[in-house]
Amino acid sequence: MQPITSSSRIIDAAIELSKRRRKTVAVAAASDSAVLAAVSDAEKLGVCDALLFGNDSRIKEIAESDGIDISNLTIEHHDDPVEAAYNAVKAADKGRADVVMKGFVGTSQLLKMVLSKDFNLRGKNTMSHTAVLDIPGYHKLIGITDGGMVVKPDFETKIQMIENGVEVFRALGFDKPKVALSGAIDYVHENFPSTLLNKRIIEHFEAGQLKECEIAGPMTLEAATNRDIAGQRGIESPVGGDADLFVVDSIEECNIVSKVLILFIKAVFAGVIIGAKVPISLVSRTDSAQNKKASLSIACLVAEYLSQKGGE
Amino acid sequence: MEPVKDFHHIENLVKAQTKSPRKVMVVGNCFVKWMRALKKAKDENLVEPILLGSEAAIRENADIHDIDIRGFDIRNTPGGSVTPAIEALQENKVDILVRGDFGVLDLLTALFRREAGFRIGKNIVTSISGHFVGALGRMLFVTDPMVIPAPDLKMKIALVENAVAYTHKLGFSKPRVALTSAVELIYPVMQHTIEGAVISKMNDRNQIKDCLVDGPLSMDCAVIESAAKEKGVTGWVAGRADILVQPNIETSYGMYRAFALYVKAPSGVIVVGGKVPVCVTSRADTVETNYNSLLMAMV
Repeated sequence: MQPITSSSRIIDAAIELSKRRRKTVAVAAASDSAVLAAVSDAEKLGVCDALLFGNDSRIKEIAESDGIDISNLTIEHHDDPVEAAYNAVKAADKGRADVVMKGFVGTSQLLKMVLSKDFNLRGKNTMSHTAVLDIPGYHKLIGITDGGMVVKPDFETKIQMIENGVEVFRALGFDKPKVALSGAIDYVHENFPSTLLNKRIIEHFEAGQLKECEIAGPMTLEAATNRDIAGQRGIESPVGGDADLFVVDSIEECNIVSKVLILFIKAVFAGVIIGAKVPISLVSRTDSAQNKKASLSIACLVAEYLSQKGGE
Repeated sequence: MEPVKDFHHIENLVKAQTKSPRKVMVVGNCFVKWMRALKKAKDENLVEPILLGSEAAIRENADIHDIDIRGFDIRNTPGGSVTPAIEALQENKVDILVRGDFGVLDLLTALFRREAGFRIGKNIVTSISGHFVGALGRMLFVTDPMVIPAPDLKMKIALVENAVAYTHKLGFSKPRVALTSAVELIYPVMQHTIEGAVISKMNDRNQIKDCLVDGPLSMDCAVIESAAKEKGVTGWVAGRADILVQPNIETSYGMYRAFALYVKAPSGVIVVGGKVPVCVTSRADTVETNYNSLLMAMV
């Protein structure tokens, strides 16, 4: 598979995939306008099918009042949103769905269900969020993790976040994604705690002989995404100026820096939670239609990648 | 005085205030992009640039890039030393320092030594970046992208106070300060949300004065009025913040680069709280960013 380097290609690739093996998204508590709009659009485009778990009359009411066509989507009626979410997760567990999508239910509540002993969906890693950004001015996509779930990763958690983010890029067709560990400076310095942690992380990956990815850092955003600047800073790693995944040190760094790019230059954003056996998709009201389509598309590509990998 | 809206306003303010050219010394070899910025300011009679290093090399470099550096004070000294700057600082012979080809941490470490005379009493030295955000039609000030790696509560208060004192000079009589976080709700597991709330309450109790503080605020709730409204976040600051006080240096630095490099927002960055301001852009920055930093330092 050719590596995917733009947000429109993410959507195209998901459509191509669905012609061969159509993916099904189970919406956990579907009485949410933004979510219904996203799955309706994605189904029309041919990205995926959707099973809507939730209150039948409430879902139809929202669809009607907001002008969302759900005629091609299947509703499985459950009165209570928590029960609806539980059954959406169950559908993924039973193989009836490939992706779980968060609807009108709390994120932590949904994740608890996914990790519950009732199901066999738990993976070996912690769950983390990877956002893939299409930034005008950068020659490829860049992933950034974690701006949604992991507040302040320790050594073990950061390693798992990296492994999760690498999976996303492998699903996008990159054999050996290039991973940059973020910094406010491009070298290790004792006054900067994140650089000390990142040094240990890189040693860990190097000891494992780096089969799955290239990794380097600490590296500033500009050195990770601009070849000339990387050169000026003496960064020799192929990651410099060409990073696929930018791994940050706190939820604030990820969230705030990506917001600048999304709000002010309309970077397209596609996010997915991975770490379980199926990907979890979430969109918010403030996401553009393109962001929502890209998010569902990336979840379908990750689902395909994980199922192929599991079958190896 | 009206709050400045963009760097042109700052430039006008600086021109009106500058009675005699300020002495600006570049520490380390002067990048070409700094020579151009200094030349521009010199043509406006705002600065008297002082360059250190091999005079022959400096003149040759200026020549190659066709920069007229007549009137620059060039001091033939061994290149790459901070000593002349420290001496000038002690003798009150410099008004602004510029970081040339010299590591930012090495420069700050040298300046922070007590005997350097850069620190004033117990004042805390911090850095502030300024960005004109076209989509908002106004300036945002961000702290701290360069100096304090992981500020604790006490240090965050200093960040607020330094940024407030600085923006007062730019006409913000009561600047709106947002303590940013990933979310606008307070969660016990997220330390920055707690500290944001505490500082906000200290402002309510008038322990932090001459500004309006709110926190925690997510980025969109801090600067986009419609986003704040939609999320039901009210108050004097939400959607209208002038100053963003950020959880850590990685967030501030990343924001500075995202604005300067990708959003292409006119930007500048300076160190404040010391005896003189220091411009701390890097080789990756444009002439415009260097010039804007100089303007920020001259106010």
